[in-house]
Amino acid sequence: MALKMTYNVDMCFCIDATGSMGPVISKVKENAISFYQDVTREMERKQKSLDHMRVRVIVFRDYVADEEPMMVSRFFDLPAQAVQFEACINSIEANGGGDEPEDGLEALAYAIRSDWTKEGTKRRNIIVVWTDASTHAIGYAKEQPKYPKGMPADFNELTKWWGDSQMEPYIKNAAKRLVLFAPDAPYWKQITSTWNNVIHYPSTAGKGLQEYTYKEIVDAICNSI
Amino acid sequence: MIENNNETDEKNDFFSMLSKLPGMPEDPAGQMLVICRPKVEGCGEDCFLALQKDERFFCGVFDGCGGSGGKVYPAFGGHTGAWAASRAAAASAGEWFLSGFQNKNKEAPELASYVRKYLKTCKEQDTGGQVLLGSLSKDFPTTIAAFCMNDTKGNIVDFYWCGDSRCYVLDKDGLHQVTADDSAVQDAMQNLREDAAMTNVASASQDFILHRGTKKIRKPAVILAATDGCFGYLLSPMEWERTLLETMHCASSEEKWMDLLDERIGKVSGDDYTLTAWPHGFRSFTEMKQTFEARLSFLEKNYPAAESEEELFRQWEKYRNGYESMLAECKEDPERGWE
Repeated sequence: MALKMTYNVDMCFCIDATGSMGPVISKVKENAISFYQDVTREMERKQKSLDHMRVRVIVFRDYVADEEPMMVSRFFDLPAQAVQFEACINSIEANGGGDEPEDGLEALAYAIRSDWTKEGTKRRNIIVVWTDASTHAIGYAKEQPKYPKGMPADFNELTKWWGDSQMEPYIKNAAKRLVLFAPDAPYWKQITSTWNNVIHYPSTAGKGLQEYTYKEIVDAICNSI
Repeated sequence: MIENNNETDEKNDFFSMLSKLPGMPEDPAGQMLVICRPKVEGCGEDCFLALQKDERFFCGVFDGCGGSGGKVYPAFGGHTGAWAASRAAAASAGEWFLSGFQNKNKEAPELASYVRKYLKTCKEQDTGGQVLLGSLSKDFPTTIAAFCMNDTKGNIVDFYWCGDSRCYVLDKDGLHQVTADDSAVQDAMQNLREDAAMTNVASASQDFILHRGTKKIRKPAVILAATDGCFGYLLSPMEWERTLLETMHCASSEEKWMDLLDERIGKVSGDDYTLTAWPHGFRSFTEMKQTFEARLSFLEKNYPAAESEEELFRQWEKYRNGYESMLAECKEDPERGWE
C-alpha cells in the first residue's frame, strides 16, 4: 500500500482555576471547548485535513494555599471522546489561589512532559495557557506535601525542558507551539522573550478576549499545522 | 511608488496596488510558466512576480506566513498581515527590477532595501489594536524565492531567497534544490516530516537576511521558484521530481504541463501554492520533453513510490547527493556581500 502523509495534533490546555479567575472562567471554559471545534472548522475551511486530534487538560492553582493545587487529565481523542472532554472542562470551578502569583510554571512543566503522540508523519504539540496572574518561581512551594516530585529545579531547567533546535528532551522542537493567554508579568514575559515557538496574548484580569484576536490565535495554530 | 500627499489617499493607493497582485502581466515574461493557487479563493497569501525588460527578467514567488502573520488589518480590507506582506514584497521586487533600468549607470540599491521599505509601509498602515507577542508573532512576514537574469541568452542566474520557499534547477541529471531553507532542519526529507519553524523570514518586525547567490546554469534546464505549498505535502523530494516530470510527460504543451501540475499539487497540498518556471535553452516543448524522458525512466526504475518509511529514507540517501549538488555550490558571493 502506498504511503501517505498523516497529520496528528495534540493539545494541552493549562487553565488557572483560582478565585480571581471567577469572572472569566466561564469564558475560558467556553474557549477551551470551542478551541478544538474552531481549529477543526478552520482547518476544514482551509481544506487542510487532520487525521487525529487529542486534547488534555491541566488545572492549576497554588500549592501553598489549595487543597487541589493541580489536576491533570489524560488525553481525550476527539471527536470520539468530546463528551468526556467537555465534562472534564465543565467540572472546573474557580476557587482558592491565596496570593496573586499562582503555580503556572508547574502546570507548564506537566504540559511539556505530556505523553505526546508519536504517530503520524507530521505532528503538532500545542500547549495553551489561560491565566490572569503572574506565577511563582518554579519550586516556590517545594516544601508543601502535595508538591510533585521530579519538577525542574529552577526556571533554567524548565527552559531546558522546553528545549530548542539543539535539545528537545520532552517535546519535539519543530512540532511544539506554546500559546499564552497571560499577563505580561514576570516569568510569562521571560518565556515570551526567550523561548521559541511562542505566541502571547497579554491578557487583563476580568476582561474577555476580543473576537478578532481569538480568531488570530486560531488562525496562527491552523496555519502552522 | 506613492505620490499622493494626502495620507488617507496614500493608504488607499497602497492597498489598491497590493489588491491588484498577483496578476499575470499583459506581456508575460517570455516563456515564463506560472501556477498561483489559493487554498481559499480570495484569501490567498501567496504571490508571484514575473517581469521581463529587454534581455533581463525577474521571476519570484512570495509566501505570506499565515502562522505568524495571521493578524487581520482593517487597512488591508480585513486581510491578514501575511496577505499584505507577500504582495508588498512582490511589488517591491517589481520596483527594484524596473529601477535597474531607470538608473542603468548607477549601482541600484539592493533588493532587500526595497523589500524593507515596502514592509515598513505596510506597518505604517497599522492603526493599532491588540498586540500579540512572542517569537511566533510577526508583523507582515513573507518568504521570498526568486531568480533573475541580466541576459536571457546567457547562463548566469542570480538567486534571492529567505524563508522556506525554494528555487530549483531541473536538468537532464535531475532536480536540484539551489536555495538553502532558513529552517532549523536542513535535511529536505526530514523537514517534510518536521515542518520546522523558519529561522529567517522577511518581515516588518525584525531585520532579516535576503540571501543572494549566483549560479552558472548548464543549458538546457528549467529554473523554478516554488512556495512550500508545492512540495511540502509530498512524501519526498523524489516524489516532487516525479510529479514535475510525469506531468510534463503527459502534457502536449507548456500550458497543459502547468494545468496537470496544478491538478496534481492541488490534490495533496494543504496550503496555497505558487510556482514559476522558466524553460531555458529549449527550442520547443517537444524538445524539453525529450530531454527529460531518460531521467523520468531512471526515476521510475530507481525511485518508485515507496511502501514504507524505511524504504523511502533508503531511497533518499541514494538520491540526495544529486539533489543537493547545487545547494553546496550556490554560496553567497562574498564579494557582493550580504544584503
